[in-house]
Amino acid sequence: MASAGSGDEKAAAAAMITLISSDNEKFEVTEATATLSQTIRHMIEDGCTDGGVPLPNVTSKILARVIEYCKKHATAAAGEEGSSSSFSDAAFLEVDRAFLEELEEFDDAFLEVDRATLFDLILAANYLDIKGLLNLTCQKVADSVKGKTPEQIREMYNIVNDLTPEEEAEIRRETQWAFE
Amino acid sequence: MPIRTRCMHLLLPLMRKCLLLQFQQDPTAFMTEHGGAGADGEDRLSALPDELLVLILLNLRTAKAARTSVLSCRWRRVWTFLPELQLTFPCTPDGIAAALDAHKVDLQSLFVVTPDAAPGSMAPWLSAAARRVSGSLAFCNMPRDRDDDDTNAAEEEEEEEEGEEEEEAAAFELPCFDRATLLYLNLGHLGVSFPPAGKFARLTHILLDHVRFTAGACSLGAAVSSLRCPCLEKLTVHNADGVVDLAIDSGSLKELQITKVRGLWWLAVAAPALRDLTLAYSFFLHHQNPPVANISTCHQLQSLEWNDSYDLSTVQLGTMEHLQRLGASMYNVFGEEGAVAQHIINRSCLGLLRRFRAVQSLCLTLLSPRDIVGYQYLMEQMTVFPVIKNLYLIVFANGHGFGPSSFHVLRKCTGIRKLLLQLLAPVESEAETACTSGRICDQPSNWRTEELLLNNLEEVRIRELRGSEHEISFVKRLLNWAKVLKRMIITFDKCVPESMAKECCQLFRIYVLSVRNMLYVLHVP
Repeated sequence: MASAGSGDEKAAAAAMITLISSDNEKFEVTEATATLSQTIRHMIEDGCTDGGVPLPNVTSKILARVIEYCKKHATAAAGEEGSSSSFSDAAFLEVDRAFLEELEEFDDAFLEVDRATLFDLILAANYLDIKGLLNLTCQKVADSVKGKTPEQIREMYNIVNDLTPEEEAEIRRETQWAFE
Repeated sequence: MPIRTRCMHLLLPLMRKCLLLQFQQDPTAFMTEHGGAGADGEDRLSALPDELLVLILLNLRTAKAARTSVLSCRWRRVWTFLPELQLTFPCTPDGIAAALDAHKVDLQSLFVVTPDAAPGSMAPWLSAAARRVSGSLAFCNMPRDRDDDDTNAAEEEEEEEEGEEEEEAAAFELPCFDRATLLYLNLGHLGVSFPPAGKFARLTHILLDHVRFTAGACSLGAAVSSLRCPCLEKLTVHNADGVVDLAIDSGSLKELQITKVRGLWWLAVAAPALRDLTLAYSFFLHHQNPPVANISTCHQLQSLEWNDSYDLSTVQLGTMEHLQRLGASMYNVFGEEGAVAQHIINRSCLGLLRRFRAVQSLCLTLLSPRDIVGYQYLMEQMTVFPVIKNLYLIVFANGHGFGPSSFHVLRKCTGIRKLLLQLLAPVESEAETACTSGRICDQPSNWRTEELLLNNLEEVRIRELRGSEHEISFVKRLLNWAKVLKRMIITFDKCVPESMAKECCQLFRIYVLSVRNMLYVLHVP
């Protein structure tokens, strides 16, 4: 197999990384996709990715979603680099804008998940150190509590209020500025 | 058990089978328990580590984030770990002080907005902020519009207490920000003075907007000079009163912008590392005594924007060997006889154009007043230009023709390689600003017929083209003069429909060497 490949194919093959989920499923991804994760980037830099990268904190279901995100954003990053080097001009902002809009649409659709998956994605993004995904998922949680009363937030996220009425009154006094 | 480990176990293959079984038996109950929208599930949000909850709260306005403190014990202190606070709702001074008091960690950024703060209320929270902020501190005070005699109660109290005039009473002293790196103050003309001692040890950027400096023990110049501000790289003073003398002695300063510092009369900048200097609308007020400036030791200066009065006898600019960009003060295309201000403005522009033999880029602004009947055409006085490569021509034509004046400038700069023509739309609507001067503004009309060789002009950019007959004629002429043009980029004004923009470009296309190099953008991005 090695002898049959052209130089380009070999280079491409060399740049593939195997990620292994907690339930032992293997995912082949390009280095560009994988290195959106700072955690994996560091592993690659340290040369410890031979035989695959075990990710004991991430299930195959979540890893598949994470990879979907990274693939899209790695392509976007590559596209951005390309566009900035060949057409640095403001006139091409239109093109960039269309690109960004598409990416935004992808992100919106990507976030259409149930709450359990959302939390799993947050934890995976944190563990894998993928800044964009972490910000995106945290933003989603923040958006969900916007305009909600404390009672509504508790209900939405099953938060048990373990404060005594006295404690709650005290906190409200302390942070009165925030409730004005 | 930590939540991560719990998830992992849930998804072990064996467990999976059990779960599948559960699901088959009672799908609704299963979905509720395992993270569907149900109300009886586990609290996965509170189980997140602090740093992730902080990341979530960072997406909320600070007040909303702080309100989560009443959710449960777990949430009581989460907001106090936020690295950034935006108290912008707007906040009372007591509220700001309370928030800073409860907050626990170093602040990378603090942004405060107050409605019409009383100067006496500033000190407590500002000194707390000075202790806590290690990054940027931005403060914006928004004064209410009020009648002169309707002073607010707090201010009157202040006056009695201090027993001073109102001017002095409405001022406060800045604390020493010895940890912050960026200070942005928009004070809504609240009076301010600098502390007499102490260092702003880490400040790299200072922006002071709408400030009224009161006589204190320390002048603005002394406060921002190296002795007190050893790291300062960028200083912007905008819309300020109370600074007549400004002497800055800084080894670190790279960028200095002084705009609308009303009444400034004496400016001395000794900053060997300075690269960018902007002075605008500050000196103009002095009609009798020409203001004095000395920046002759700023040898590294690369960009000089001097949109202000310039008098050769009182302004020392030095050799400026590294100067690449000159922004000259604006020039009135038409003038009234005996108008002193106009005369000073135009003389300053001409003086600056004469001052430099060669500079890479020149920015020039041509101004036409709304009413020009009885005015003189003043372009003929503009005779000497530095040798330049790039011309950035800003035209504020106010509905009048700009062909004659722009042609005059281009005739003086035939060696240019790049031209950026920025057409500024009149302030009022088109109908109100239609030129009523007859054909005065189109005189002299030689631009329509005379040839001009712009044999180095390779790139033209035009911004905010509105597509009037006059504009189209001018661009066509320009393209006739520029025989080696390689690239043209036109940005249309937002009032221009796309069909019209396309039509215009079709008209221009024949002049540009390669169609691919002609671009247009509909609106200013």
